[in-house]
Amino acid sequence: MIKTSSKIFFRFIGKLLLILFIIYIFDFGIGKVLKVFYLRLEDGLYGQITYCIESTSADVLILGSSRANHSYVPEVFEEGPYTCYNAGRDGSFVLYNYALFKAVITRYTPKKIIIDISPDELSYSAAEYERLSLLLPYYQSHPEIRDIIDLRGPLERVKHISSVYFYNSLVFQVVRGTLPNGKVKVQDMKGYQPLQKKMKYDKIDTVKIDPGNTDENKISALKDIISTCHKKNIDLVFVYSPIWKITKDGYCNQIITKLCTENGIKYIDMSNLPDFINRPDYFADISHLNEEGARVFSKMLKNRLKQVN
Amino acid sequence: MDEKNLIEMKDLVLNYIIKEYIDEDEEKITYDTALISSGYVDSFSMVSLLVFLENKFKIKIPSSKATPEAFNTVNKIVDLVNQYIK
Amino acid sequence: MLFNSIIYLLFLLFVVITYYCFPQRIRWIWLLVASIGYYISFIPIFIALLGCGVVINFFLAIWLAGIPEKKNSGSLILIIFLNIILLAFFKYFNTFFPDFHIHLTGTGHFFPSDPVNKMILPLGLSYLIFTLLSYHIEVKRKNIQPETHIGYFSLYLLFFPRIAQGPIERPQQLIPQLHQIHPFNYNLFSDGLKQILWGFFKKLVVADRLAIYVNAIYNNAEEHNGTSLLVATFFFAFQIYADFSGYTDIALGSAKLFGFNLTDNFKRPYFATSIKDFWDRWHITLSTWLRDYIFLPIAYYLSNRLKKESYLFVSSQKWIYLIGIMITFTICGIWHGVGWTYLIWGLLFGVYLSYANWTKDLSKKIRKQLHIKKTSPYYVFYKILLTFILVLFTWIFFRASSLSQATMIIGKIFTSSGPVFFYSPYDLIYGIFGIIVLMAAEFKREFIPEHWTILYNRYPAVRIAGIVLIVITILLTGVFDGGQFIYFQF
Repeated sequence: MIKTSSKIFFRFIGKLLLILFIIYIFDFGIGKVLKVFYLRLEDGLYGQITYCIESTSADVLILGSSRANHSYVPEVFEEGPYTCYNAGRDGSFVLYNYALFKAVITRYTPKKIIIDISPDELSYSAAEYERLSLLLPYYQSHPEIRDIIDLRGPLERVKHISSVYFYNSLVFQVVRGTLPNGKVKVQDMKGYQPLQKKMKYDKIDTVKIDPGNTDENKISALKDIISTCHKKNIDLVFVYSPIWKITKDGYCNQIITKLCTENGIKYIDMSNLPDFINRPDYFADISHLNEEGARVFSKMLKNRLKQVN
Repeated sequence: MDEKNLIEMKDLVLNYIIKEYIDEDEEKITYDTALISSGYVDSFSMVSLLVFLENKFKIKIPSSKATPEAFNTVNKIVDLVNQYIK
Repeated sequence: MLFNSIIYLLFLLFVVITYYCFPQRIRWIWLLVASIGYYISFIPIFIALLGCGVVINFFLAIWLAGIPEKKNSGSLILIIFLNIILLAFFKYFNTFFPDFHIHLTGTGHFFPSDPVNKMILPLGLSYLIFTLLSYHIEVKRKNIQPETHIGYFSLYLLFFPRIAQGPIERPQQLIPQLHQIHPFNYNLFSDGLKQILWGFFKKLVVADRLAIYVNAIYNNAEEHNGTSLLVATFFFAFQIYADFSGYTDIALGSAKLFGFNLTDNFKRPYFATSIKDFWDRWHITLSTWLRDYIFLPIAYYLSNRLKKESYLFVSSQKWIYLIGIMITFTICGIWHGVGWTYLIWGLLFGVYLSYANWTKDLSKKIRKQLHIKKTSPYYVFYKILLTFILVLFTWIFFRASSLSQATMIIGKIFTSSGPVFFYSPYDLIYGIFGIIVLMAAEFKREFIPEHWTILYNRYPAVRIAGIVLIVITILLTGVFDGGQFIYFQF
């Protein structure tokens, strides 16, 4: 009795292992196919990330969240032979930009890097770790960013056994992207996405930013960016772009100011300049400038950078 | 309880059920058709069925025994009724 | 740990392998240990509460069984009272004492309510209490003997696959299985794995995906137009179904791995042809519980009391039905949650069912006049669609955060239209994809069960292809960033 039961059990285990093996083979194959088609995406969100990580060699690189993406006009920063690319991305903050930075640095050395950063970005946010999933398609070919993506969770590495997992929630986009369409190719806009809206506003809010819980991973990331820029002689600047909220001081700027002063990095705080606080028509909403405002801001920043130099 | 009486009882119950709960264009019901679990008889309609049985056979079935399982086929119903007939 | 996590799979793997290594006679001990461990992984503190509840009820049932049937109603009522107090205490604590704060360490991030400010509902307490009540009632009715082995009794209540969200298992279903020996059963084990896989598909590909859009719209309902709200409600209907039935599949599948058969809770509810049929297919263990322990006792009681044939020109049968159903579904609503919205949700079904019952003869007459056959596919389609719409309406109340939000949403759906909101069209595309695959599979099961089987096809190549396809689909389109089982808080 026991013998036959064991035999059945082991036969079952054998079949199970066989099925797992077949799954693994298909997973591996489909993953390879998806990689090819994914990297061919030229426009849209994913095309832009690929361009930034794999292709750009802009002299001036702009990193940051949606605030960077919609506020910095690359043409303004291009002067003479210098090229500029805006790699800002909606919903992506310090850790994402840190990964972009590391990937870009392995390919070439930009002359100048502008990082748009708001002080309240330094607190812990679970959503930001989830957002790192944007970088999964690059995990396998970019070992330098793996540590950052692994911060998503202790069991993240287990999911990486699957090649197909890296393209999770991307398959329809990849299919769509391989079909012919007339979207603007990414190089033409240089990453910048202008907003046309003018916001409906009321009274401007005053916000006190609490200390909250600072995410140590982000602080380490910033420190590493700073030290790498020092080593490679990259001109690094942190900028706090205009926002239609009065952000009271106190904790607000302490960490970044301290980080910058200690390491000799320029930190330009243009968040509450009267030129913008008094011009709500420059804003698409309380956090983002529209195209008109972005041009004004970009020119102003460029002049400031010249002065500081 | 002799055979003839038993069959009479079953027919009585079967005809009542057909008249009250079954549509003409539905399949034929037998003594063994699952009434409640296949949805022919609404489990909530058991109440009126119980009233019918108690009145017809002059018995009192405790409600705790009048469960959907006990009412699921004509055969089971008649078995239950017979438990309470004096 | 949540069911849809890698940790759970590892836990399950570990428990299953060790289970079959132990001699058959002591396997129940291991299952009990694993179940307690599973519960502790959520909130350690409440295991003490649970333990007390289990022990007290164990002795109460034995005491109850010793009382002769004619005299034991009072004792049963006492036992019910004690258990309901416990349930009500936890469920409604926060409503009556909103300022009470409790601080729990290491509680994890998966409870929808803020654990620091509210008293957390111990996991699965509602399911547990209903299981206990059914146990005591069956003992009282002398349908079963009380379990005299406290180990088996504890395992009956705490068996980990069903502790979080049911099914509500009757003692006659589960307790005998606990006493039996379960040697490794190839077919059952294989069934279990397939069921777990399908449960993961429902949870990750359908439920968690739709939740993203539904939450975005419902959490900001004032900002969205009626069309978006309608789409979100439609998505929610499938989200909650996939969530709960996906959980159930994982639970049933897990139990099968140990050789146990639990009761299925769902039978393709969106193919129901009437509200009554819907409740025969949705949360089946709850609806049969309500039927057997609330509705039928009330109906029998009234039928003995109401001596006349009719009252106010309506037959007493109809009155009995109305009263019984309204009470039953009031309880159903309250069981699901604190708040007017849950109550209204339950009452709506009461209204639907009563209306159907009172107009049964009339609708039969109309159908016959129009010469419509009950089996006509057009008629069946019409009934399925109508039922779905009626249920969809009730989901608005279930999902809304308050009665005023629900009424606002309903108003908007009928008055304000506009483009469907989306941040990215792919949120909708992946959601619709999941719904289509799920409903196609259910359609097949409902109407053509013998053909086009994939997972149970006689050719192994087809079966393996099916498994590979489901796994790859989950990896490609599933949401892995952690969604919540909606029914957790019950």
